[in-house]
Amino acid sequence: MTAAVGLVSVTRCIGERPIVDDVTLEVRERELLTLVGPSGCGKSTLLRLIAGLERPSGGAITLGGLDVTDVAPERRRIGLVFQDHALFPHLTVGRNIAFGLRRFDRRRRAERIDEMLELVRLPGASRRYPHELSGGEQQRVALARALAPDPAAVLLDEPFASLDASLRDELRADVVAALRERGAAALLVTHDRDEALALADRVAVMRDGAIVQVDRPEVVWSLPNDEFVARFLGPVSLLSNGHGDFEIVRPHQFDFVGGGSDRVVEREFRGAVWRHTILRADGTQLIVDAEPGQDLEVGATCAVHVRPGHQLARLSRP
Amino acid sequence: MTVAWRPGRGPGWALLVVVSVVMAAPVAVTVWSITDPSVEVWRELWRTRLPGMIVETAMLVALVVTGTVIVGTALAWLVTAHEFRGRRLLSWLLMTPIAIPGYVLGFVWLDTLQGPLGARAVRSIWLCAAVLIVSLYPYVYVFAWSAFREQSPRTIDVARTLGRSSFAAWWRVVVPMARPSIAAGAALVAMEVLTDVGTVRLFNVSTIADGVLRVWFGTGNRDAAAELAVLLVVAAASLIAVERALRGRARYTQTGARDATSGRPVTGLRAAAVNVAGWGVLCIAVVVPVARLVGWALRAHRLGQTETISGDLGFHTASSLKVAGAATIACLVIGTTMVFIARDRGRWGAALGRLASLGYAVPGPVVAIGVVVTLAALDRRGWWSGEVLLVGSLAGLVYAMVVRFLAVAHHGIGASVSKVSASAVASARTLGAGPLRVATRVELPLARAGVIAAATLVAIDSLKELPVTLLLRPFGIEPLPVWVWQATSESLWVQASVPSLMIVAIGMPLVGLLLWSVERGAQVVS
Repeated sequence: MTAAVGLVSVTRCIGERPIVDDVTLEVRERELLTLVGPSGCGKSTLLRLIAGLERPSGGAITLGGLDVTDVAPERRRIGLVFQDHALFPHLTVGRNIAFGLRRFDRRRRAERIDEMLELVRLPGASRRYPHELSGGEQQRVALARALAPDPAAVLLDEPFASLDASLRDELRADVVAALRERGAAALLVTHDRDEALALADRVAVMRDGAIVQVDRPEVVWSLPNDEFVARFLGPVSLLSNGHGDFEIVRPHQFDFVGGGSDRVVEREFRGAVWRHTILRADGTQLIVDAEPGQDLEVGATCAVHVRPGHQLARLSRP
Repeated sequence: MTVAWRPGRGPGWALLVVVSVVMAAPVAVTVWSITDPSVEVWRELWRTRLPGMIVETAMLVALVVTGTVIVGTALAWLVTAHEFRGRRLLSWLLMTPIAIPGYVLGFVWLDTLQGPLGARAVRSIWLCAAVLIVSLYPYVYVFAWSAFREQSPRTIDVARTLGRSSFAAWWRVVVPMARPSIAAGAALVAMEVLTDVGTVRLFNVSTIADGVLRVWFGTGNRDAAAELAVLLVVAAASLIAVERALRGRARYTQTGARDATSGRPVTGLRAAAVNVAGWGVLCIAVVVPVARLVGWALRAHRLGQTETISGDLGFHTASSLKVAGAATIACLVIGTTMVFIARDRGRWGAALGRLASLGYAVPGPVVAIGVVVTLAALDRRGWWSGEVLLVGSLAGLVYAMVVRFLAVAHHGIGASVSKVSASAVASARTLGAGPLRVATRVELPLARAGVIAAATLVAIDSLKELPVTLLLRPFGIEPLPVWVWQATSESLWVQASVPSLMIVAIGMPLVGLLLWSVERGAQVVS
């Protein structure tokens, strides 16, 4: 099966400095891939390269198996959704959605607009102007506009970043549902690790212009390639095994019993669990989750051990 | 912002080069004339008028620039730092003097002050400078005003909490941050003083521009006039260098909210003082002159002096509208094209864009002479079939206007287009729109206010333009400024009032349109 989006050794330099450094990556048909990394790591540039808004200094980009490295953005059939949604403020919602539907005749265009507004759960909004909509509604229209011409792939650049938390969860679910319903391959860029893990079929972690790891969310979470990925995706403890290697352990993979040489120095309530910071006798700190009822007070002594049955990532410290 | 690359950029380059060369040619031709100097004329000039001309030009520029910077900045401070009844109205009205040319304001005040001061004392460089200050301060005012408005009120709040008084906060923080803008406005004023021929003639101030015209019309020695005009180019170039130096390397950008600075509420005596200052300037610049013009025009109507030997008011008005209309449309079309073909072409594209905008930084007489020389050369070659001559044609006059004012359209439209969000452009591209469709369907509609503002500015400028019109008007076309010029040179104020009033009557709605578009986000100062 050919990939919806394929990148082969794509590099983008500004001056001598590589912003995107030898990236090889594919987004499969009907797949939602999230691209996550700290700000300034080159995520957005990678997106602009795929859309054709910037030209790679080296490497090749394919869409649906065709080389599009030298193809202008308007010929690539890419849908693009920005954080600031970038709706055309002088056009109504309907005409925004119709912007990419030039080859459609009038009847099919009207049908498609209705279909898209139905899809993003904004039926009847066609005649309104962008400024009359809320932030979340504007983002829905932006998605409808991107999906309307049946693009080969949809690229979303931090689409939920400007929305407040309560709105974000609902919109996220709707956006994913809409993407799935259209069967579109999608690449979603975010700096929010929870978002990246929650939405993705696969997660790609980026750092300093390079892709560090690509895999299913549960794999990158529990079996990270290196310490950066481990720490970037969530709280983690490093357990040295004494031979220069160390194991990385997520908070839920620990268990403890009262009385021992370890001591609780801090704890916070996270809803489903209490998260403890525990200081070991050798000076290392561990982060350990325990369900309410199993938790310990600050100052309590305990003995921490890894729960049996968990496969742990083993890394050698550089 | 635009997409960083696009395939196939061939024809754009060719067009860009052609436009830039055509626009820069008249200036180049004038400057070139110095390579074959008319030694006799120079010697004669140096012995007689030239030293005086240089001194008076320098003095006038210095006086007017200083005056407009003080008046323009102070008025902008009054209407942005204070909150009072009618502030909004006043802040808009203070821009209306740009509809009244200096040579109109000049003869009105000349006559008005002749009584109290005496006919001899009134024709002085000081009064000439005062008139030019009143007529040109809006250039500084509009720059300072928009710079002040863009500054975050938090800047002033911080200065206040650090122990500065309201005025000190403005003087120490806000004004220095607006300095680049004020310098840009002052440079425009200096350029206008260099280009002025109408006002200085009224007050018997002999500047270089005036000298160029005297040589041109008086001796008929066109080569000598062109060479003298080179002095103007030198003066303009050194002024631009000074402005660049004043701006320094500072590029002040502010982050955070850009909501309009809210002024300090003033009441009682203070409010009265602010109002007196603002409305006082308006009275001198607009109210009194328009009232006197109306009075004279009524008398002219009674006396039946509302026409010249060339034609009646309708004929002259039609001439003006024809020229200004054609110049505006040409500037818009060429300016818009330039905006879209000159960008994304790196250093060379930007350089060619600047070359095409050269005319605005060159005084009117230079452009006019350059166009005459260029077109005469073309006519001699006889490239054009038939007997059509370019010199003395409407096309020639419009060409000169475009050379002079293209920069206004180019910069105005460019600044507004560049404010269109980059992601809107990117979205349009990925939705299948090519660069041309993005320009016509997304960027220009969104920059509409800026396009309208640029058009009105060009229209107002070309309506008032005297030296270019004077030197290049074709047979059968007599725009209003020429009528004013002819009547005032014989001190016939009553006759001059009729075309003057018409210029103001056409200009005021244009200023209204300009303000309307600025209110809608047009970028007139870049």
